[in-house]
Amino acid sequence: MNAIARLPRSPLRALCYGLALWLLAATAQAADVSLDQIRERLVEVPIVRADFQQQQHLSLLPAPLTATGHILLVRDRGLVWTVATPFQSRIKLVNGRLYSNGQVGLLPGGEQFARRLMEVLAGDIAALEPHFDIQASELKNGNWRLAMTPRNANLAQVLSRLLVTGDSSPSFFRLDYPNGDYSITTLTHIEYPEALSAEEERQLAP
Amino acid sequence: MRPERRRAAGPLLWLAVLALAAGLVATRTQGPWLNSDLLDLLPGQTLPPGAQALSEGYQRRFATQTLWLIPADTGADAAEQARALRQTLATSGLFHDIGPSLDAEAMRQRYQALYRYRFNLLADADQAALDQRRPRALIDQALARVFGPFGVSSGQLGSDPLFLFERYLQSLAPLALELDGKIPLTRHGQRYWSLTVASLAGNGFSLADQSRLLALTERLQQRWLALRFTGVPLYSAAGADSARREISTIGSVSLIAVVVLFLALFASPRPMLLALLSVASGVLCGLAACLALFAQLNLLTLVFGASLIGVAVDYSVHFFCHRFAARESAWRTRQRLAAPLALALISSVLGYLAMGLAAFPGLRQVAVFSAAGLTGAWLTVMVVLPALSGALALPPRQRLLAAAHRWRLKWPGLLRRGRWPLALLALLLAAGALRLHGADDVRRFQSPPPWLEAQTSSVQAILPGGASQYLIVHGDDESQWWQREQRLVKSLQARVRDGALDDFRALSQGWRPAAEQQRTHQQLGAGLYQQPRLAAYLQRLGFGQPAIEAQRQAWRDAAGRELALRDWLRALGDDGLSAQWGGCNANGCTSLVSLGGLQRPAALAALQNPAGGVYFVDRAGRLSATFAALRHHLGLLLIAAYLLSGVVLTLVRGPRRALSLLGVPALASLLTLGALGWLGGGISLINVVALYLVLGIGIDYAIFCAQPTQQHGAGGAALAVLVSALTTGLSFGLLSLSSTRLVHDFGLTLLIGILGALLLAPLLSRPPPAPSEDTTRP
Repeated sequence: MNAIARLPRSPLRALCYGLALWLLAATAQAADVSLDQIRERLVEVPIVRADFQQQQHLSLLPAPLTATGHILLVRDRGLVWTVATPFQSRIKLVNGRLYSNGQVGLLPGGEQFARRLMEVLAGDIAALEPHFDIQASELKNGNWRLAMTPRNANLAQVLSRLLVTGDSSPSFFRLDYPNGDYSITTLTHIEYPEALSAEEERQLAP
Repeated sequence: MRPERRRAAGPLLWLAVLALAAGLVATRTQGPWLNSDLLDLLPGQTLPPGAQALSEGYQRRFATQTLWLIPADTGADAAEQARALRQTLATSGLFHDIGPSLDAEAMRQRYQALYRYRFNLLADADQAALDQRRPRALIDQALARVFGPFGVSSGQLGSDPLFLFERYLQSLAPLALELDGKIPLTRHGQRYWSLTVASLAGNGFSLADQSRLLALTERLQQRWLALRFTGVPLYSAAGADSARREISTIGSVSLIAVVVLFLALFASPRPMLLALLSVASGVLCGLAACLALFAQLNLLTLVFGASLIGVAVDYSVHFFCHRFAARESAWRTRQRLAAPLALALISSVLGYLAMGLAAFPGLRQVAVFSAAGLTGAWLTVMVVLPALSGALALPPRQRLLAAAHRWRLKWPGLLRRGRWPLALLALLLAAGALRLHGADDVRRFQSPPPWLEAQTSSVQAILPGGASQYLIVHGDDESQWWQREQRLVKSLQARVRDGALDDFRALSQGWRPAAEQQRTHQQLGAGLYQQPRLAAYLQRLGFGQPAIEAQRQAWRDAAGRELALRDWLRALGDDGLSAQWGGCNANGCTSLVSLGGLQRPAALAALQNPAGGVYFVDRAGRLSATFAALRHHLGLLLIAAYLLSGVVLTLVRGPRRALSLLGVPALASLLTLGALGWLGGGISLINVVALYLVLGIGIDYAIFCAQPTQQHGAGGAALAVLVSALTTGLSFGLLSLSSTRLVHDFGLTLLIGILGALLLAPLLSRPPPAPSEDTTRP
């Protein structure tokens, strides 16, 4: 995978990395590209498997909350978010309903937020365009980069900016919140299988 | 001179009676005398005290709301369209409440008002975890949430580290709607649909407003081609609109036809006006008798009663038809008619009175109304008509009389010649009668236009529909009420899993009484806040010791803090939910549980348990049940009506004649049922009521056709029967053209029944020469 995907594990370095990314975002825009060009590079795949690492930098806490695990994203069906560390859990988002550790749960931020999350993970630019002002550019390593700010005032209250970079699929996400919190999620070992395994089918069942 | 004086005294006396009746009606109609609630015809559904106002308020809310949906490709566009729509709705002046406007500020206020009570009120599932002594599950759930795909913010984690309050607030939101600005949106079929709810101003709205509402929907549909809408007011408006259009078309056609018929036949407006006078005085007498006996009159009584009196027109027709070519005084004609008309009247009145034997208060009213009304109309014909038409010279109409007479004499022979085809027809009709079944659903009678049905079903595909049925829960005090509603909620959850309904909303899902709130607070302490596991969880996330202590202190501070139901409702600011609370008084506490997407009403009706304070309210269902019960009772009483009429006819004419006289309406009714079986198959209350009218009219035809044919004025009897049938066909029969099911059914039944009676009655004619023994009887 590309260089951005290999994120450092230490919280301090993660913070530094985050700052570096900010600088990168400000200076490294080698060239503006159009959304259509990025869309051409994105592969249209029904299934995405990947390992993830998520770091949440909360102003409340001295250290970021870091989780690693595995995601399974199936177009038009849903998302299975399996956390391996630090606490084993599984959250499923199937047909607009959320299941937390096997129980029906409630969607934090409502259905709207859940849908945006799915669209972001899937790199569904067409679906995101009505909700965000999108600035597209190309990074030095050849990856594309989308900087998105919400158009909808309600969404803007919970999310101030969304940054996505990737190549044939999105692999790096940074979400900035109005209170100064931010989270970084990277995907590694991205695969596009043709079909689901039996185990994955079972996981997706409501 | 004595008879002369008697003749003058009669009308005067009758005038006095009418004046008395008019006076009675005038005084009794000062107060609320007319009741349009059809359910009052039944012994009422007893709701607990305090529930009636709650129930009516909710129904009013349901009956005034309209729902509008506009689609667009983007949420912003859909919201923009909704704002324009709301503007148009507001300028129409028809609506008093247009919304909903959900804004972040209202959500923030709700959050702040309820936040203080976050240790007292929990989402159902969280409360269940505490009740089942699984506090650990709440921590595991919080960890899954923290490391889940949505992430958390500092604010959330600091103010609600276990996300219990977040989950509680979400459990209160009935629908997961997106918002754009203040406009709620829902997604369906790759498009965004903006949602607008507008309530009509005023309770019942005027006819003028109804046509304005329909005109408005037409205009809006032209502007937004994909607009979807529904609501009870639209159904009422569409129903009233079609009824109005029919009254103006069918009504005027039938009126003109009857007027032309009378004028052409009698060459003077007087017979028509006098016939009208007899019916009007009949209605007056019926009204007076009913108001003297009953406190209030039901609208249905008035409609049915007035229809049944319709047969009274025939008395006037008989009188005038017998005046053709008469070289006798009007009093002499009356004298000749007195016996058969009295017989016709008595048998009809007894038939109608049979309805009063039913245990339904409404039917007793109909019986009294029609019996008194018919008698009044008859008296007018007997007393007033000869006095006011003495000098009237009617045209001779010899050829018409002769033709009618020939029909009466020749028709039986024609029928006899065609007896084999007739037998086949009888068989066919018998087969039709086997196809009959009850069709009592009131929604069938409403017969809404197809475009409105299509609109409603497409709205329901996008949004789960609210049901007109609901449950009422009553308890002697707040705590009993709450426990009863909680038990009901558990049953309803099971019914939702079974698919009997899609969802429901109850106050006790979100609020608990003070004692329960204290218990929840204690459970949270015993399971989490006073246990090391909460500290361990917070430490794991990176909370410092002071922050952990602050969380525990917040829990301790909340002890003894309880949220009263009224304050909870105020904090929510949800009008729909507030409308479900009936409050507490000396009689106890009452609430309403609203239902959505009802698939099997019977499964919910089974939850009714008055001893346990639970009542299932289904107005449409109850009305249908009322109609079915009425149909059943009226059907059985129709047999009693025939028996009663039969007794009178037997006393006067002997058993053999009585049987043949009754045979006319009886066979005509059977013929009607057979034909109805082939035409629609479903019969309801309204068909049965029409059969009572067939009984009254049929006996009348039979009595006059059975009059000795060689007697003076025999042609008059035949012509009178034909003219009566024509008049009834034009006035009631034309109703079968109506697209309103109820009206159509009544008209069609009567049309077939009268036709049958008309074809059967001449069979009773006796050939001219040999005078039978009966002719000597009156």
